Amino acid sequence: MFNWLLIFGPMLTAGTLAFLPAHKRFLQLTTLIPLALFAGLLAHAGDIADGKTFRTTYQWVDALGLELSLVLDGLSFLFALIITGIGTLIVFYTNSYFQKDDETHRFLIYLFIFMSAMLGIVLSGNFLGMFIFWELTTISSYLLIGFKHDYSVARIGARQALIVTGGGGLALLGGIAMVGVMSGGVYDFAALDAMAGELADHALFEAALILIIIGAFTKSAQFPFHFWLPGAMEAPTPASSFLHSATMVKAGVYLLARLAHTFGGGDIWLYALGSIGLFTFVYGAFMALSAYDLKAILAHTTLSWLGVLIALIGINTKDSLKAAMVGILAHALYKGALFLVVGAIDYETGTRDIRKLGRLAGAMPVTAVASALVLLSMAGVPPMLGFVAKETLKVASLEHVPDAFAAVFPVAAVVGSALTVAAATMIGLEIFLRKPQHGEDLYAHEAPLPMWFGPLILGGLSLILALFLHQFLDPIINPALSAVYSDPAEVELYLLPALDDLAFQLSLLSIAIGVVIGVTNRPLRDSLQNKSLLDPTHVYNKIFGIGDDKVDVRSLLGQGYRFVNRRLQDGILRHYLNYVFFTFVLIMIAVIIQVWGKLKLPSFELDEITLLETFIAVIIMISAVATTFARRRLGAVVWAGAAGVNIALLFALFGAPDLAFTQLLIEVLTLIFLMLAFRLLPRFMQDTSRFTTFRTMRDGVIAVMVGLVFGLLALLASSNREAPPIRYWFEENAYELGQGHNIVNVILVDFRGLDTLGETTVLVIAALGVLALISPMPLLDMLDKHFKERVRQQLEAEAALEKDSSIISHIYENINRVLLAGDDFRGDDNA
Amino acid sequence: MFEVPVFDDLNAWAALPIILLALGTSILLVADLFIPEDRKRLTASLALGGVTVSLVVAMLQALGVEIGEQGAAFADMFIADQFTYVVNVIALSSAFIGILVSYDYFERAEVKRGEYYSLLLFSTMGAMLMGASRNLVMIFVALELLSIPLYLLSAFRKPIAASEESALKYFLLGAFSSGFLVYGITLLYGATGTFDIDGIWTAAVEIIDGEISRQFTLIAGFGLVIVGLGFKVGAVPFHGWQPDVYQGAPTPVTAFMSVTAKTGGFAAMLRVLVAGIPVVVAEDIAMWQDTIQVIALLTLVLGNFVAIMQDELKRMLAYSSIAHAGYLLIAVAAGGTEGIGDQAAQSALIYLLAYTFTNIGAFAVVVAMEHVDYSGTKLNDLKGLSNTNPMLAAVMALFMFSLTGIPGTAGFVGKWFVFKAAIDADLVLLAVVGVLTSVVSAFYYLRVVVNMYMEPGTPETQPETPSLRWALGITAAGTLILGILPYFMTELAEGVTVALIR
Repeated sequence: MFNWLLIFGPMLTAGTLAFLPAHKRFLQLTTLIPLALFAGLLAHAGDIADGKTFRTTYQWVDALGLELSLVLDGLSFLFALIITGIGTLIVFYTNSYFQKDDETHRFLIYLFIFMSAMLGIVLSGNFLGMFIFWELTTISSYLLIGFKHDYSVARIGARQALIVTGGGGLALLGGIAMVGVMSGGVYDFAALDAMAGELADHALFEAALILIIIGAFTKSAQFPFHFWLPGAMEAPTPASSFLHSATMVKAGVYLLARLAHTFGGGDIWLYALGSIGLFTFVYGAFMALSAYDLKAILAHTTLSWLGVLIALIGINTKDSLKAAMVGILAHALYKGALFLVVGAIDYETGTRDIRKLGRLAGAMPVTAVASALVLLSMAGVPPMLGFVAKETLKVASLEHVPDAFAAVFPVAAVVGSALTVAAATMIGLEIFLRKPQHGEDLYAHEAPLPMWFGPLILGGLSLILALFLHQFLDPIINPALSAVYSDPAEVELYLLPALDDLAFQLSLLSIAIGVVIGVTNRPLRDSLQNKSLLDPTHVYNKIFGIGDDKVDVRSLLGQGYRFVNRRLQDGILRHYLNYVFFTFVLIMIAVIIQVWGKLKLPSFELDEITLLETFIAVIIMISAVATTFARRRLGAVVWAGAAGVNIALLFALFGAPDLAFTQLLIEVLTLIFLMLAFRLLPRFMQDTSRFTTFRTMRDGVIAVMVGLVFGLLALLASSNREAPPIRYWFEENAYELGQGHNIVNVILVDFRGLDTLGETTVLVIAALGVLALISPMPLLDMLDKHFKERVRQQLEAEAALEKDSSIISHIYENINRVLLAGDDFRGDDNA
Repeated sequence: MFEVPVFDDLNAWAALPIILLALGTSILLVADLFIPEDRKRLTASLALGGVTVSLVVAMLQALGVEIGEQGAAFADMFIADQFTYVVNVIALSSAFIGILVSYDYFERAEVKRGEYYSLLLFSTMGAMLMGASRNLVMIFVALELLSIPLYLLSAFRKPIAASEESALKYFLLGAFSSGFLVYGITLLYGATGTFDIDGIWTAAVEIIDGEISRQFTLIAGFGLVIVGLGFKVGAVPFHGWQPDVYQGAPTPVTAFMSVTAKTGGFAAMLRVLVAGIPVVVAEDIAMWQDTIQVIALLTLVLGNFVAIMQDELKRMLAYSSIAHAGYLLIAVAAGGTEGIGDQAAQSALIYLLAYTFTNIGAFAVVVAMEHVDYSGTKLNDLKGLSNTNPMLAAVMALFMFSLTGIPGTAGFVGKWFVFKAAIDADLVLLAVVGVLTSVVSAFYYLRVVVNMYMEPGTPETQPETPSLRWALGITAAGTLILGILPYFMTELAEGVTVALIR
C-alpha cells in the first residue's frame, strides 16, 4: 500500500491542487506531502539495510505482459530518498520563489506530476512500467522547462529537450520491445536478470542494448545529446535544481545501474559507456569554465558528473559501482543545493552573469556559508561527502579496470576532477569573494529563509553524512550496491585514507590543479567567450530549425516540407492522378520484369486480323488521343463517345453482344448526363500557362506508359488464361436451362437478367449522384421548364416503338446478320 | 445446378447487425421525408437510435454472446466471425459518434437535410460489409457502398467551393481507384477462376507450385488490388486526395470518413491479402509484403513530416491520418509473415478501435472551434484555449497525446500492438521507422498542446451543445479508458483470426 502511495501520492496531490484555488496556505501545506513520503521511506531504512526487498504487483494488461510491479530495493531506496528528500526542500523553496500565487500553483501541479513519474521510474519492477513513467517525466519536464512560456527562449529550450529526450525515449521503447522479443515477453527486471545468459546470446542483443543505451544517454545528457541540458536552463530554478541535477537527468544513470548486472559486461557496454562517459566528464567540466551564465556553468558540470557516473557503471566492477552509488548521492546533494543558491542570487540581484556578480559574502552570509559547504563537497575536499565520492572514484579508476581503460581512466578521472574543482573554486570566488569582473558591486540582501534553508540543509548533510559514514552512509550505499552488483556487497567507506595511498594522492593532485585553474579562470573564460565547442546544437537547428512557432524554412525539415507542399501536394487533381498511375506503372513493370520470358506471349497470324477490326481499332485510338487534345468540352465528349461506341462494336464483333449493348447504353447515357451538366457549368477554362513542354511531356509519357501496361496486361492475361472461355458453357446450357434457341437472348434476359436490372439501378444511382454533385435545384428547374415538352414527345415516340414488340432482339438480329457471320454466337434459330 | 436458394440456406441472420442497420436506414430514409425542415433533430435522433440497436447487437456478438448465426452466409459471400464483429463495433461506434458530432454543425451551418444521416449510415454499412466479405465481388460492392455516400457527404456544404471541390476530387480519384480494384479482381478471377477468397487461397497454393506464367496474372491482380485499396486508406502515393478532401469536406464528415473509410479499407486489405494469398509465396517471388512495406515506409515518412508544417488544424489532421494509415500498413505488412496473420489482424483492429475514438474526438474539437465559414481552425486560433475553454483544451490535449502514442492513452496501446506484431514478423526496420516517425509526430501534436496551454490568446469557440458535449465526452472517455484499461480491446481482439473458416 505504501508503495502505491509513494508513486501516486504526488500525482494525487497534483490532481487535488488543480481543483483548489491558488491559495498560499494550501500551497505551503503541500511541502508536507514529499516530507511524509520521505519519512515513510526512512521507516523502511532498517529493513533495506538488512537486505530486504519489498515487492507489490498488480496485473495491468495481461496480453502485453504489462504488470505494474513496484520494487523497493537498495537502489530504488537510494533514488527514492533523493527524490522525496530534495523534493521536500524544492517544494518549500518554490513557495517563495514565484511572485504570484497562481504561478506557484501551476508550477507545483507540474512538479508533483513529475515527482510521481520520477518515483515511478525508480520503483517500477517492470521494464515496460518503468518506460511509461520515463515518458511521463519527459512530458512533465517539458511543461516545467517551458514554464515561462511567454519567452520564446524557454519554449525553444523546452521543445529541444522534448525532442531529444523524447526521441531517446522512443529508442528505449524499441530496445524494450526487442528485449521482450528476446525474453519471450518477460519484462520484469528480476526475471530478466535471471535469464541474462540467454539474452546475451540472442541475435538482437546488440541492437537492443544500443537502443537502450541511446535512451539512457539522451536522458542523462551524454555527448552528443548533451546540448538540451544547457538549453533547458530557462526553466525556473527550482525545476532546474530538481530535474536537471538531482533527479531526472539521473534517470539514465539509474536505468543503466539497474541493468548493469543483466546487460553489463559485454564490449558494447564497456566501450559505449566508458568512452562516452569519460569524454562527457572532461568535456562538460571544461565547458563549464567558458560559460557566463551561472546556470549554464552548473548545467555543464552536471552533465560532466553524469558522464563519470555512466563511465563507472560501464566499467562495472565492484569498486566502480560503489563509486557510482556514492557519486549519485553526493552530487544530488551539492548540485541541487547549488542550483537553489543560484536561484536565490538571481532573485536578489537580478542577474546570473558570473562576470557581473561578486563579493556577495557580506550581503548574503547564510547563503555564502551554505554555498561554501556544498562547493567544498563539489570540489571533493575532505571531510565532505564529495571527497568520499571523488576518493572512491580514484580507487575505482585504479583497481580492476579493464585493460582498454586501464590507462585512460585514471588520467580522465584526474583531469575531470581537476576541472570540476576549478569550476567549484571559480563559482565560490566569483560570486562571493572577488570583485565583479564587469561593473560595480551589486546591491543585495540575504535571501528569505526558504531560499537558504534548503542549501544549508543539503550542505550540512554533505558534511554530516561524510563524518558519520558508518552510521548513515553505509546503510544506504551497501544495499544499493548489492542491488546493482550481483554479490551482496559489504564495502568499507572511509573518510581519511592513508597519506601514501595512490588514490588519495591523485585526489590531492586534482584539487591542487583545480584550485590553480579556478583562481586564474578569467583569461580562459575571456578567450573562450561563452562559445560552446563541439556543440551539436547547430546540427539540431539545421534539422529542426531555430524558430519556435513554425518550422524554419531554412531547416532540412522546412526544405522538405516546402518541396512536398508546393510541388507534390499542389491541389491539382491531374498531379494526384499522375502519382497513382505512375506507381501503378512501376508496380506492374516490376512484376512484368520478374516474370518476363517465362510468359506465353500472344501468338497470332497477321491474316487472322480482319480489316474491319483494324479499322475499328484505329478509330478507337484516334478518338482516344483526340479526346486529350480537344479544346472544348463538347469535343472531348464526342471523341470519348466515339471511342466508346467503337469499343461497343468490338465487343459485338468478338461475340459479346450483351456487353456491347451495355456499353452503348452507357455511352448514350453518359452523353446525356454530360450534356445536362454542361448547361450548368461555367465556360471551360484552360490555364494554358500550365502547359509547359515539360509538364505536357511528363503527362504524355505517363499516359502512354499506362496505356502500354494495360495493353500488355490484357494481352498477357488473355494469352496465359487458365480457365476455359465461358462461351462453351453458354452453348451447352442455353437451351437446357434457358429454354431459348437464341443464345444471346437467353444471356440477356435469363443468365444475366439480374445484371441488366443491376445495371439500370446503377445508372439511376449514378444519376442521383450527379444530381447531388451538381447543384440539383437549378437542374430540376431546368428540366422542368425545358424538357417537359420533349419528354412528352419522347414518351409518345417510345409508345410507338413498343408496338414493334421486340425492338431489342430486332437490333441484335441485325447486328448478328451484318457483323457476326460465322462467329460463335450466331444463335441457330432452326435448332 | 441452378437451385433456387432457400432462405434457411442463406444463414442470413449471420448478418444481423447489418440487416438491422439496413432496415433502420431504409425506414429513416422514408421517414425523413415526413419530417419538416426545422425538426431535423428528430432524424438525427432516429438515426442514433438505429445505430444504437445495431451497435448493441454487434457489441454483444463481439463479446461472445451468440446472437444470430455464425460463419459463412449468403452462399459464401459473407462471413460472420470475430473479425467481422470487431469491424462492426468499430464502424458502428464511429457512426454513432459521427452523428453526434454532425447535428449541431449542420444546424449551425443551416444545412437542413435529413438524408445526410441515411447516407452516413449507408456508408457505415459499406464499411461493415467490407469486413464481412469473403468474396471479391462483395468487397467491391461494399467499397462502392462505402464510398459513394462519402462523395456525396463531402459536398454537403455546397455552395462553399472547398466542399464542392473536395467532393469532386474525391469522386473522380475514387472512381479511378475503383477501376484499378475491379481490374485487379478480374485478373485474380482470371488466375484462379473464383472470386471466393478462400477459393483464391486454395488456387493460389496450386499456382505457386505451378509454372511462373500462371503466377503472373495472380501477382498482377494483387498489385492492382493494392492500388485500389491503397487509395481508399490513403496510403502514399495514393494519398493525394486526402489533405484536400479532409480540409474541404464538412468537418463532421471528415471525422467520420477518416475513421470509417480506413476501417473498411483495412478490413478488406487484411481479408484479401492476409487471408487470400498463402504466405509461402513470399519466399518464391517478391510478393505483396515487400510492396506493402515500401508503401508503409513512404506513408509513415511523408504523412508525419508534412504534417509538421501545416498551420491549419484540419489539414494537419489529414496528414496525421495519412501517417496513421502508415502504422496500420505496418500491421498489414506483418500479416505477410507466416504465423503472424492473426496477430497482425488483431493489432490492426486494436489500432483502429483506439484511433476511432481519438481521431473523431480530435475532429469533434475542430467542430467546436470552427466557424460557419470554415475559418477558425488555424493552429494559431487555438492559442490560449486552456483559459477560455479549459475542458475543450483538456480533451484536445488528451487526443493529441493519444495520437502521439503516449502511454496511458488508447493510442499507445494500439501502437504497441502494431509494433509488436511487426517485430514478431521480423520487420524490425519497419518497427523502428514506425517508432522514429512517432517521435516526429510528437512535434506537431504537441504544438497543438503548446498553443492551447502556453500561448496567450482568447480564441472564440462555438457554443457547445449537448450532442457535441456527449461526443467529446464519449471519445475522451474512450481514449482514456482504453488507454488505462486495454482489456476491453484485447478481449475483443483476442478471438480474431483473419483466416476464413475453412
